Amino acid sequence: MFTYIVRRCFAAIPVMIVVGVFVFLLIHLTPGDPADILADEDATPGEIQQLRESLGLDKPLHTQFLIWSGNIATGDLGTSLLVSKPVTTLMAQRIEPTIFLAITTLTFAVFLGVPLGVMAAWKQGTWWDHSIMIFAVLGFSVPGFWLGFMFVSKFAVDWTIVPAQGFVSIREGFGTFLHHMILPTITLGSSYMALITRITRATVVEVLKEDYIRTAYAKGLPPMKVLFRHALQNSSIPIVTVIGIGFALLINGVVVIETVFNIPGMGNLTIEAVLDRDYPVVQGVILVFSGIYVLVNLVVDLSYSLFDPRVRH
Amino acid sequence: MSKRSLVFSMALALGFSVLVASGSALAQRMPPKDTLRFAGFNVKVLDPHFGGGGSTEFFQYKVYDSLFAFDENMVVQPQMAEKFTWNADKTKLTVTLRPGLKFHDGQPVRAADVVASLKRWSNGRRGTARIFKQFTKSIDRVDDKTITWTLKEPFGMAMEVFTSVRYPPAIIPERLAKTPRNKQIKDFTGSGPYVFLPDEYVPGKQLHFKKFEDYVPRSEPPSFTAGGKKVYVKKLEWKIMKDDATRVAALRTGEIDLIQEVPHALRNDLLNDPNVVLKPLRTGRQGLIFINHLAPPFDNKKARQALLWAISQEETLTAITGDPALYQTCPSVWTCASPYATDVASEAIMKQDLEKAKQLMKEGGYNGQTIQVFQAGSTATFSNATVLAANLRKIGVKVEHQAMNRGAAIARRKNTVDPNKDPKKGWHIYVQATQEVTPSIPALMGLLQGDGCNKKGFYGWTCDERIGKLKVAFGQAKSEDERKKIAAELQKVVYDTVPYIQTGLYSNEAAYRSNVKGAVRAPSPIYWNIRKE
Repeated sequence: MFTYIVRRCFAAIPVMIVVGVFVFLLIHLTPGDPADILADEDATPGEIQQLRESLGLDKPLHTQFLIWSGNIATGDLGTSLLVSKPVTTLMAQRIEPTIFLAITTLTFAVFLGVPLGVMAAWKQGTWWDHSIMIFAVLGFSVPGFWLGFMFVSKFAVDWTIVPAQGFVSIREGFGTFLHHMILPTITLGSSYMALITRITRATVVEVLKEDYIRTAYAKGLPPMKVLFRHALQNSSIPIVTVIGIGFALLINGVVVIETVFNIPGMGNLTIEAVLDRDYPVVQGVILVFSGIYVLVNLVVDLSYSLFDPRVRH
Repeated sequence: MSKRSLVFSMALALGFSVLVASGSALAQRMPPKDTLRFAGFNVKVLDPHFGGGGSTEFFQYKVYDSLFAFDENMVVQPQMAEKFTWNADKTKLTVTLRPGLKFHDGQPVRAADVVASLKRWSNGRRGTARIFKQFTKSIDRVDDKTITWTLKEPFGMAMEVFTSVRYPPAIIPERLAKTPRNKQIKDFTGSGPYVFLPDEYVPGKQLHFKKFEDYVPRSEPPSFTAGGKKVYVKKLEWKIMKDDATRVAALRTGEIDLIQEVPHALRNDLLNDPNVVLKPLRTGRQGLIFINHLAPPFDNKKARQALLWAISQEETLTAITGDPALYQTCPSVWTCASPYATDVASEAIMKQDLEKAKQLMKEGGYNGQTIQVFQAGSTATFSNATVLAANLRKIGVKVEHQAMNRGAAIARRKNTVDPNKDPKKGWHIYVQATQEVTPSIPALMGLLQGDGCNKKGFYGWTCDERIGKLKVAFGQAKSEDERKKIAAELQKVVYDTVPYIQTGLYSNEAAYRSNVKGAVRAPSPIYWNIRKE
């Protein structure tokens, strides 16, 4: 197992290199550069050029890439061209809200999506099944930003039971933290939950047709035990895979939801950096997101062995 | 107790705890009475001499002070200066500092700090700083409280340059002012009414300030950026909220006390809220349509003049604001708030005539090509460009209107390629907006240039030497009457050569909770004299 993990970690290196090259080229080939944005509206072309030189943007692209990748190799993601702070500092200031939003969303989606999917499969063809599937289709179809604004309008503005925006660290109190996370979590988690519900239903429906399920019923096990101990555990590999793939959806969704709920996280940082052409920040953030995605996939792969002993052998 | 009832009791207890925690959280999210929390734009560059677009000035007015400031009549008033005198031939200004001025680190403000700050500011990229440097022979320290500014030649707008409406030269400690101009300072010690709290600064999220207890305000009442800067709150919290609807919701729930500017589309959400007051706290904006003088058909003056006749300020401003109370049509290139405002030669801009526009466009050589119109920024700029495109289509002109982000727009507007040959890179018309106060003094207007001959100079590339000459003449005029005459003459030239077209004035209101009092209107959001009841 250890060898497998090490091998997978090494396999991630070329992926990160490709991502790094791609991101570097993409952002540098986009029209506009930070010197234009930093300069005032009535700055002369000569002054903008001087500023470009002072930022090192006048160097050939390959030279800039070599400098950047050399710094990356030493763990230095660079310094923001606009804010003049290290990229790692900026990310450290922004990562907490995003991590907690991901955790609460994942928890919400898994703890609601999996039981709903199992229930729909168990009651296949009944009004339970149809209701859950309609709920899932809605969850998947309604855009997150619209849902977010509707929630804010009703729960925050009209009924004032939750805040309209912002993030409070868990260190300032679990209640306050939770209070701020309820709406963003439900908004971001609804489509993710719908995906998990549908996949869970589909796989559990298949497993419920297996002989060993019939055997479990025949030997007198209660339905809940059959469903969760036998059917769900044997359906878990596709479900865990979808949870992993869904993590990418989550990263996309974070960008929108952080804006709607004014959560100062990594999604917001990415948007600002892209619009300002703040090259080091964009490159750093995307590289870190890619690393997280590779890591999540590794964890998903490793989790297979927990659910299916055949993988271990 | 059965297992089921145990689980039920635990669930009830958990629910109750969450409710209790929620109640306490509701109370916590309201700003305390001695704290003013406002939703503002993002600010990236905090160095007041460096550049960085619009938002740096918002930061500057809180943390830094300046020698002079404009009052609401656009008259220069002393701020850090106690007194100032000109010599007989107006080539030397002597300024004495007010007593008791201190920096946030407790050190006194000295003439050496002022001299070093002015030198650093004048090396910056701002238009007024450039003019300041152009006329400066030397800036010298006389003693710890006195400086002199010696000019190469008399300049009628010297005080206006020294003050600069939007970016007055911020005074920083000498040790920081030695930082090269292309390197940002990292210590934001100023001498303004608020102290910046760097430990609470999270870029893109928030900037916090506390009251500067040692600040000595002037005794005069506040007027624009001049007068007494009295601070009545202990803490100022600037929360960066990017989404307009989120800002409005946060104000309505009381999570913030004030929104700097309410977008026109969301104004109705606040109009009927008894807890919210809507009032313009910032001077307005002016829409501007820049024209590329290099490419056909707008390399021909008649085609540019056709645009003047095609535009309707009334239509444009209605599309932007939707409420006549929030806009003003204006015949003057110098904005109607300027003392130099005039209606000379303004018939075309004030009276839309599509037939005449069509005729002029034909005479100007329009041959059916698609006109590339682009804009960036707010919904106001988008509305401006949309109305322009619609009017051009009415006179038979093909138009492609593209909205883009600021970075892409800035990159595109400097492109001199022919848009008729390369429509993806080149452009015919670029729509933007500027602050109402920016064009109020002709000699200092950086956006108005006639130096675009041979594809050089300012974007739009207007090639008309009359503009530069009249701007210089305006600066050298001996009297206000002479200045007004030159301003009128320059306006004639502008409406003849058409470097750009102004599409009227509009304002965005600020919105604040009804317990917020004393907010002062200014060219930039300022938060002195403001208090909470």
